[in-house]
Amino acid sequence: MNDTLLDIKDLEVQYVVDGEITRAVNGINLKLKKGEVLGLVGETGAGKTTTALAIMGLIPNPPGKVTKGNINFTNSENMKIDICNVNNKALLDIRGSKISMIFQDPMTSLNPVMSIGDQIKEGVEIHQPEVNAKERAKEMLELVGIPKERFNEYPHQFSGGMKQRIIIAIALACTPELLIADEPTTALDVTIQAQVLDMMKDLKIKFNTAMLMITHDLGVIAKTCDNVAIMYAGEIIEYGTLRDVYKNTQHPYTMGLFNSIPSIDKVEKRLKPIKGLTPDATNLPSGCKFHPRCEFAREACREIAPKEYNLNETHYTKCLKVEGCNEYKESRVIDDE
Amino acid sequence: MIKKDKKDATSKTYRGPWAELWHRLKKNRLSMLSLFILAGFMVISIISFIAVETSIGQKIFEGTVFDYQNVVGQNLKRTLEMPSSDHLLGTDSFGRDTLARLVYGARISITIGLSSVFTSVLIGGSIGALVGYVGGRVDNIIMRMMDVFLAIPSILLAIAIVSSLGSALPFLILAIAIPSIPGFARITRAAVMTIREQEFIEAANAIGASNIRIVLKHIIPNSMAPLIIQSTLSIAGAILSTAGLSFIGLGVKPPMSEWGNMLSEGKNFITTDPFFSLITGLTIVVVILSLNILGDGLRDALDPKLKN
Repeated sequence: MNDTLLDIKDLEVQYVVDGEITRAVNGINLKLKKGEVLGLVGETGAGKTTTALAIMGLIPNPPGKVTKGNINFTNSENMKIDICNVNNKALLDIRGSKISMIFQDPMTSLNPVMSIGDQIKEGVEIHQPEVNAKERAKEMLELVGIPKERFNEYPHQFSGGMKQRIIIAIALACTPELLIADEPTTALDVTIQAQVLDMMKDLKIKFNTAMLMITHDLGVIAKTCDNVAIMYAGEIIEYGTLRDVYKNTQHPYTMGLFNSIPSIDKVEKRLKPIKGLTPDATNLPSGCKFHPRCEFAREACREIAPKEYNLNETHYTKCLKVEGCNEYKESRVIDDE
Repeated sequence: MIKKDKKDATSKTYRGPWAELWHRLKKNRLSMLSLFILAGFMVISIISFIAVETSIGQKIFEGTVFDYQNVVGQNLKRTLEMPSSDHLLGTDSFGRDTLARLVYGARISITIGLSSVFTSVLIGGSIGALVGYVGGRVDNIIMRMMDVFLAIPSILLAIAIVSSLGSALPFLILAIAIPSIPGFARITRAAVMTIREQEFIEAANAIGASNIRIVLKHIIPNSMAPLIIQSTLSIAGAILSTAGLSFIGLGVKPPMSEWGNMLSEGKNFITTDPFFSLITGLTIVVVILSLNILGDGLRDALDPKLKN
């Protein structure tokens, strides 16, 4: 028995707009076990959402295309599917029933002219026609803390936090094995964030759902995840357990991320943000993609693309400095040109 | 687990989108008056249909204004009379009862108005929804074809269709429906294209809804508002077009009465006996005005910016 639920191998996704290639995801490898919560962190434009859409088989085509790699999904009935290479019919069957997704903005993710009850019902009607969809929908509503009497109300009658809970109810109505949460709390204020996260955690345990938590909020990750993957310019540059990444941070970019948030027990006059901007995905730098912004960058970083370097069984990073290879040691520090 | 917030669950009254629309329309008195007038015309048309087309109806309504004999029966001794107790709205140049002819004409106008708009909404709406959702080359080809239709003046197109196919009722409906198809297609397409990009469509995709389901259950209900408004306004246009075609002798043929051919008849003696033309023209004005006011009222009621 294999308890790997999702196995992404060397995934590459590109968007072609007006002949210009945007390299959104560049060869990522990810494994997700059953019931595991993986956090995917990165700046805007790092390819987090594209990865999520690829797992759903929802990359808009055109302009997007999975150019390389595969996404193997194994469910509890040991059905193996490569999401990148199946027909549309099979994808429709998986979406919503095996893999669900929660979208970023609860305000726009609900159909304004359909009652919320009907919207929760929809997925059940599609995937589990034998179940009494109305009863299930009411159960789900109660589960996310909304009285079932409000079944027939419309989205505009709910607050943002409640809408997000309704969306979670929709996503979990068919008890999927994998839940992709694309910045589920970004649009909510902090107190509601905590509520929603707590609830997701409870439900995750109740249904034993694996979760891919996409966010740029390191606090959210610390609160919910088992493992963390840090994404930069379409690559995973550091991966490990929560402890590995938070206590034993290796990659300069990850350090930069931690330096840009205020710490409660350190007195700091100024935060140290990472200088520069995320690289343009149509024109990625050579070698290590982070080198133009990295304070430790040397000339070797321009030429050699770092490989995954394992620090221990669970923790790897992509950095020449951490790797400590000779090329890095021998090359000069980049002078500002 | 989060505590349940039950506080406003019971006190709040909630309505579906249609009930909400009705609730808001009710506040607009002018629209309600228009709706009332139009409902009156609807009822009259239905009674007229029963009185003329069914044998039971013929017996019940014998001798009333709904009787077809009154619509076509001539009495050359009593032409162009002013209103009196046996002819409430006077008579025309053949001595026929004006009220009876207006009532019969209402039925023709409303039948053609409603069914031609229904036809063009159905065809134009489906085309618009299809090309709006699919997009790309299909969209380009079909919309350019629609543009060709839009380039021809609608009344000319209607005249061309009627003169080549004949002026039987189905052809009249078609003649009036076809020129307004491109308009509906454009409106639906625009609405669908906006809705298609919304996040809840992506969310519907993410729960495994098929394309057909997404179009029918998510996109079309969300793009109804502009269609409803355009339809009410189009019915007015269709009634006017019918009258226009009859006026120039291409629509409903005498002795059957229709508002357009009544006006056409009236123009011959408008300087000596203007009452007949006046009353016919007024009927048309009232119906068209009511439709336009109702259309405006619906637009206001459907506009989310004017909520409450």
